[in-house]
Amino acid sequence: MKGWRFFVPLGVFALFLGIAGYQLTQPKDDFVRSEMIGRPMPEFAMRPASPDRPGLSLADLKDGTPKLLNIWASWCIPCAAEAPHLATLRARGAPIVGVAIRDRPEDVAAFLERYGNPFDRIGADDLSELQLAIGSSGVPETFVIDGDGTIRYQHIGDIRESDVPVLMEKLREAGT
Amino acid sequence: VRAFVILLLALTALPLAAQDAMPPAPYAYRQLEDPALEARAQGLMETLRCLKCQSQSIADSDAPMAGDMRHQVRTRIAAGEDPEAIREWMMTRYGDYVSYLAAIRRPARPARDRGSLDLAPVPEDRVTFVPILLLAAAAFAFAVVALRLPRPAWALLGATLLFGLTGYALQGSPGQAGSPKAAADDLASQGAELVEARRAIYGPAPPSRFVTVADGFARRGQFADAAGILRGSLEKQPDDPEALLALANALMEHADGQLTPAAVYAYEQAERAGPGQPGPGFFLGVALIRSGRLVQARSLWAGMLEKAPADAPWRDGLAERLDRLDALIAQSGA
Repeated sequence: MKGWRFFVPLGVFALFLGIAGYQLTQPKDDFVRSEMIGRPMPEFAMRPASPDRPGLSLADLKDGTPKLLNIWASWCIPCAAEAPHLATLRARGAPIVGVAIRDRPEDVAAFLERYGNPFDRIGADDLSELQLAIGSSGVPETFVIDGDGTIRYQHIGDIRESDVPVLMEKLREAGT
Repeated sequence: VRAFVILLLALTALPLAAQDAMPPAPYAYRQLEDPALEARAQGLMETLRCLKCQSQSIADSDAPMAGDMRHQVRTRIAAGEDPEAIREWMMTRYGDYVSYLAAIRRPARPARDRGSLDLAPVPEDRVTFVPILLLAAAAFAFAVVALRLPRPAWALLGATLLFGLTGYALQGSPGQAGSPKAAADDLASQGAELVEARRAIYGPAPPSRFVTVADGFARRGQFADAAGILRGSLEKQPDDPEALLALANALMEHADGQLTPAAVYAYEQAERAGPGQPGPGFFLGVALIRSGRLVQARSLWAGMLEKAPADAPWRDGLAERLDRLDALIAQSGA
């Protein structure tokens, strides 16, 4: 009986369908990652988003010290969830600057009052201009910027406890 | 069928996003005065993908970020910039994802460091299709030589392989570097933990068999199925406090930890069905903490402790958690 060999093409065909079906049912990665890693931050200058911290400009990032740049907003729920972990990063010596997306000063003040203020500076990005310019696709996101103002790393979503050591390590790498 | 349902859900699910209180950007909803410029802007906006909503262009989306992108497109076009230059600017930041025309018009990538010898490179896209063609040829040779495929079947196998290659040519992206990544948070283990935590309160006597079955689903992270079974159970026994609590937990997990009105209602019903039991209050507190409402969770748990009988076995455990919550609140500076 040699007829089985005629089923080889059918088997190959079924294999292709199987692969396509498998790939269709795999969960996909919804993150849109920035393509700006390794590139310099654009020129920008933002007004202060809260009365008790100065605003943010490119010159502030190019002062030689690597920093965390946290993109957040008072209306964003995960931003509240990551607040304690930003405080931990701050306590471990990470300089953090903030960019408040589409936010009113009174809302920013209320949020910081409630969840703490780990930021040295907070710029207001009312038209998401800086956010678009650095390839950030939502809030919260955290970028590691080195002392020359080059983007080194992007963390998408809220910072969890397990992300704290990763960000500290990336910050250290950016300083070498 | 399940896979199909998941696919449907993935296609129709809208991201639950909080909205800001700011007015939309000036040119988010306002057209440019000059109809010719507006038409150019419109053409570009219809082919830029909304970053927050996946299957809409920024022209169709009401997401604030899409509004800010429209504002940027319109103001830059009004300033005389070429639409394709703006598309390239976007793609330099967000990659192919942001443009519906990405596959057709790929912007020039920055030159890779090729050392001092700047040889004329073969376009990457062409080189990368070589392995798959070799693989197809090898498969054909294997079938003919090793499996001794009869000659009449050669054309059939050839057609099948071409079918596979066509699919690869349409969907494959061999030019893209591999990107290994860490496993995502295991939803299942979270479900198992929740079940164990609940059983620790109500155990050791086993729950109703409906709850047992539902727990099986919850352990595997299939919270919608668990909730479905529990609803069936509650139609028969509406006052089973453990089933009500399991339903509340399943609803909360299914909403990715968001405390929905339905979940809150289920917690309330669980409390009503089994007054004095710590389960509903405890898990509602956990849900509140996960939604960032620490202070509310604190007052809930503090109230429970106050009312708890002095000999309640769960007193110490709750008191300890309350202390930890206080530390968390102090840390976040509330």
